[in-house]
Amino acid sequence: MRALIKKKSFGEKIIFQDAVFSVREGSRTAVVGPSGAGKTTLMRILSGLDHDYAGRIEGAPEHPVILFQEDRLSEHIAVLPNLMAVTDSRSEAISILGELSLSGEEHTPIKELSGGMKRRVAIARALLVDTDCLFLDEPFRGLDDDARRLAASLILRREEGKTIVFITHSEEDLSLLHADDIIRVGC
Amino acid sequence: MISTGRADRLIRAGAAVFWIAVWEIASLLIGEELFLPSPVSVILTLLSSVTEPVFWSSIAFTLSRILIGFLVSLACASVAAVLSYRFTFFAVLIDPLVRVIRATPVASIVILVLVWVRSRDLSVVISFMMVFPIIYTNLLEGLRAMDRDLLEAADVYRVRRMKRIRYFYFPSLYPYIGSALSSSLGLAWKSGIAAEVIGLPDGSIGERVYEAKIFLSTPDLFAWTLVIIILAYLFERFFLALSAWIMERSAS
Repeated sequence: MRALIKKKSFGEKIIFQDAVFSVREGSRTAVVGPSGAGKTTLMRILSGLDHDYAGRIEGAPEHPVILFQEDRLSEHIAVLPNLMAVTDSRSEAISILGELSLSGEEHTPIKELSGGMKRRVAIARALLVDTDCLFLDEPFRGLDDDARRLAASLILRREEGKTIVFITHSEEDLSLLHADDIIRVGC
Repeated sequence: MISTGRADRLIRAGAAVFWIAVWEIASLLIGEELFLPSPVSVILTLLSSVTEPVFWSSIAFTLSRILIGFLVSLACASVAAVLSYRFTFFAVLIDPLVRVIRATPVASIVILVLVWVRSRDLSVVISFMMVFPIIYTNLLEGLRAMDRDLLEAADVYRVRRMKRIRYFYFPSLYPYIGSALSSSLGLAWKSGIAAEVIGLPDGSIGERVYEAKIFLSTPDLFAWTLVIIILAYLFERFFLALSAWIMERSAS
C-alpha cells in the first residue's frame, strides 16, 4: 500500500506536501511523530476514510478495520451488545472478552466501565471484524502495563500475517507489537 | 424504617387522598350535584355504567380509532423524520406543514376535517394529525444528535442495517422516543375525544360526553372523564413499557 500525497491541509495549515508513505503487505508498521504532526490524518488517508486531499493511494485495502483513537462505543448499551453489533457469534464475543480480562462484564453498561475497560472493549470489537488490514490509532491509550501486554499479545495472535498499521507515542508499543517498519511524520 | 420507594408511594397516595377530600368538601359546600357531584356519586355512576354493554362498546369504538390514528402517525412520522435526516430538501419541504399543524387550534382542524371525512373516522385523522408533529420533531432531533463518530465506526465495521438500528440508533433515540410518547399519547386522547364531541360519531365516548352535557348529567360527565383519564394513563403506560422492553432487549 502506498500513499502519494501531493497536498493535504486543514485550512491554511499544510499537513503533508509531496509526501510518499509505504506499508508492506503483511507487515506491522508503526506511525510515530509528535502530536499534531498528522499521524491520524495519515491513517485516515491510508484506510480510505479521508478523500479530501490531492494525491492517490496505490493498493488500498478493500475492507480495512480501524481501532479509532476514541473508543466510539455505543454508551447506552452493555458490553456484549457492542460486540454483537459486529459479529453473529456470541461465543466468540464472550471468548475475546475473556482474553482481555473482561469476563463477567458482558452485561455491564458501557457508561459504568473505567476508561481502560472501555478501551479493551473497543479493541475486542475491532478484532472481531474480519479483515486483512488493521489500523490501530493509539491502541493502548489508557491501559496499564499488564493490560497493554495482554492486548498486544492478543492482537499479534489473532491478526498474524495481516497488515497492521499502528500509531503510537510509546517506544514500548513498538516492541510490544513487534514493529517491522516505522513511518515518522512531522520529524 | 420505611424504604424510599414505599415512602414515595405513600406521599403520592396521600396527595391523591387530599385532593379527593378537597373535592368531597367542595361538593358538600356547593350542595348541588349539577354543579359539582361528589366523588362517591361519580364512582357509583361509573359502577352502574360498567354493567351496560354500551359502556364497553363506546370504549372499544374510541380506543380503536385513537390507537389506529396514533400508530399510523407513529409510522408516518418516523419515516418522515428519517427522510428529513437523510435529505435536507425533504426537511425543508415538510417544515411548513409541521409548523402549521402545530399552530392550528384542534377545533379548527376538526371542523375542517369533518368536511373531508365521515364523523366516525374523525378521531383517527385528528389523533394522527396531533401526534405527527410531536413524534416527527422529537425523532428528527434525536437523529440529528446521533454521535457521528459512532456512525463512522459502524461504517468501518460494516455493521448491518438491522443491527445498526438495534444497537446504535434505537438506544441513542430512546430518550427522544420516550419524550415523544409521553407528550403525544395524552394529546392523542385529548384531541381525539374533543373531535368526537364536535363530530358526534355514533357509539363513541365523545357522544357519551356530549349526551351527559345535553341531559345535564354532571356525574356522567365526570364518570366518562374519569374513564378517559384512566384509558389515557393505561395507553401511555403500555407504550412506555413497550419501548422500555425493546430498549432492555437491545441494551443487554
